[in-house]
Amino acid sequence: MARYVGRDLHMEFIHAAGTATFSADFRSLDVNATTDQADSSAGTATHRYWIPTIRDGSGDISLLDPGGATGSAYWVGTAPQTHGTFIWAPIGTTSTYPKFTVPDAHVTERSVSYPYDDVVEWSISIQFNTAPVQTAY
Amino acid sequence: MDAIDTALYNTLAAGTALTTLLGGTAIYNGQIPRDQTLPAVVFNLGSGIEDNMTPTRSNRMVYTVQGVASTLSAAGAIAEQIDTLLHQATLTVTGHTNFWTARENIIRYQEVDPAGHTIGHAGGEYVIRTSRT
Repeated sequence: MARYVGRDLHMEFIHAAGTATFSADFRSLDVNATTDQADSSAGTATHRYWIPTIRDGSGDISLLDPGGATGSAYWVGTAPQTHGTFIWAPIGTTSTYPKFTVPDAHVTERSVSYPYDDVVEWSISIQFNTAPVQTAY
Repeated sequence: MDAIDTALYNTLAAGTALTTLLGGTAIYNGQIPRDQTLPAVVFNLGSGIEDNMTPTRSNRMVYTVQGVASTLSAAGAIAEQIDTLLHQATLTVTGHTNFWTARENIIRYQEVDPAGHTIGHAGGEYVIRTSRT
């Protein structure tokens, strides 16, 4: 597959009060995957030796507030501590396209910027409590 | 006309204080007709930008809108009414939602036509930002 851009990204957060689908208003999604690690260097070691221990993951979303009912739905779905299922599809939802699902996630941060002369932009951070599962639409 | 052109014209034409100064709806997109007597208002699209910020399309259009009259003072009075109608206004644009309209630059100058008449120009550059509905 050739290189591609994020314009067809589909992204949604399914929570107890509904589903917030950000696909029309997102600016970016950053998905982070990390691991903790333990230092197992021996006393005689000349270089540290690290062992990966436990994985972690999160997603950072930037979007423009569309206002109205859609903006309200975004607001409800992105309150810190909101728990749900986070799904993203990098190239859209056409059949066979890749789909990533995090069935257990919660919002950790929502920041809103209200510039006088520009559009209102939100930054949202979502903590993944399980690894993303890749399937296909 | 483009939907934003139409909205701009309609907003200006609905301003009774402006049309009183003009003696009617002497408001033109592009250029003032040769046989039109002054005063008049003329507007031009100076730049149009597709934001390409999100999948929802949005635009940033900059229009020069100015009053043209036989004196700079008269043109300035027209410019005041243009500003009243446009600065921080919400235009009704078919197929769009207008979320920002504001004057960004002020225009004021005069010229002398080949017949020796002074012509005043006053107005501004107005940015009109819309998202598609």
